[in-house]
Amino acid sequence: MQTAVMLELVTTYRTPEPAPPGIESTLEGLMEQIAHGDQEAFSELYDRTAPRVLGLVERVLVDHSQSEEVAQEVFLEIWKDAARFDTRKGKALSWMLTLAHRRAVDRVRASQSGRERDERIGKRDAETGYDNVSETVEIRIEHERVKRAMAVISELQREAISLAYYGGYSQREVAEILAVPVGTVKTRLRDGMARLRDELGVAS
Amino acid sequence: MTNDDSFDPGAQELSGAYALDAVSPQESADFEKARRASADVDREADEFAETASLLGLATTPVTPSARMKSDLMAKIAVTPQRSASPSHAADEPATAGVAADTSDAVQADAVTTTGGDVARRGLRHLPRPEDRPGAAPAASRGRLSQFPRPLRYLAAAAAAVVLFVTGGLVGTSLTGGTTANVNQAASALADIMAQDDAQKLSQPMGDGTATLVWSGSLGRSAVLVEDLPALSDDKVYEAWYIDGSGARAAGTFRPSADTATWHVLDGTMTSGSAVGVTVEPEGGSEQPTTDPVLVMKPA
Repeated sequence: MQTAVMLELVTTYRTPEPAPPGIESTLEGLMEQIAHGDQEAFSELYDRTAPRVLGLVERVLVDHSQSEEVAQEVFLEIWKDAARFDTRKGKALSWMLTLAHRRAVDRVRASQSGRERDERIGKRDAETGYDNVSETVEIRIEHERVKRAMAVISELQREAISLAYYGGYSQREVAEILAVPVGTVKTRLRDGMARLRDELGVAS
Repeated sequence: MTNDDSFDPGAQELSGAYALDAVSPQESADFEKARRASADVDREADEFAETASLLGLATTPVTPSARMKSDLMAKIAVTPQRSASPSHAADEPATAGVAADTSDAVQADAVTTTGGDVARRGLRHLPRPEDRPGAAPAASRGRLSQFPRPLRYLAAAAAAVVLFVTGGLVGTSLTGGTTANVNQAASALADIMAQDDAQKLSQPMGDGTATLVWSGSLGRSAVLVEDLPALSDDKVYEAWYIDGSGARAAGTFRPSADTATWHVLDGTMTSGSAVGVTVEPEGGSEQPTTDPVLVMKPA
């Protein structure tokens, strides 16, 4: 299954620190250790995933210091709930990113400064290369894959999905922004996600 | 929140919006009901969740500040973990409107906590409302009771560490030392800050400021220095406890790559001790061999 391979590649992505001697743990293996209170395993999980988690949160929230706060909440929750992670339900990284996205969206919805964020999003989208993190080949490949899949779905579907996922807008807000009925947005999101799922080879 | 099997068939249309976190709490509850009632809807929800996480992987990674990690390591050292959920947890209804973790003492920490409407909804691995301490399973209570002080107080301590960090005093020496050392140091620092009698003393040093934090009741201290000058590879900084009977070695350390370096001193700080720092050959010395670059004496 392509998706599993892709996640595996990302899972083995590491920061440039030298690997500890012995076999490198999978993120799932680290989660297991963390569930038993292993702080060192938590430290390693953090080193290997924090740029991904922060990258996603910052994409939604835009503001860097707020994003670090939220990313920290996410990691604290991972620590507290490591025992709740169940490998049968999916990859550790998926779990973490799902949590990160929800926390980021929570912050957006709780925020009183939605307008400011909208302005920052406008500014961000106008800027190119807003961050300068070096990327591994695996991550570049996966960027390309998602980009290609996004190019395959319809313009309208892409627009709705991007506003919802990367913009953190609710379907109601997306409908307002696009000046279409909520039902239309709902359908675009569902059909678009189905198409993306097929393009990315996600199947359960 | 009802538990009956009836659900709005239209709710399954929400699968896309649900996976993208674009639904309201009510819509979320509706969809989860539809999902429990239908294996097809459930499978689609799983697939869409994984698809959405791939969208998440496609964002540009952002390097966090070193501070974020030291702060987090200090926090987890004082944050109890929750026990595993009972089996079939995913089949139980998610209860909207009860924050999963508002009653955790950690809530009091310096990280702003949000309403959590989205996060508290029924993501299968996520904490459930019955995790509140009143309903905590025995295993979880056991863990909590390992902490010598009320959790709320520890949370305040963690907050103090965070404030310390945001105040710009604590950088991190993560680049030196092993992870285990960093964890221990972060944990020790949190311990010191947790004491009722924790105190702090600052004085200028070079271009920056040196700060000593200590707890007399704990007999421990840590020194934090901004812009500590770099040393050649064959030299280290060594900390000392100094009292009437001489100097006791209290561990060596290297300057952090970040603006601030901190070191938790080895051994016990006795009443009336001063803390000194000298430059020593790599591996440290039994007794100071150079003049101290820093001496701090608690009043």
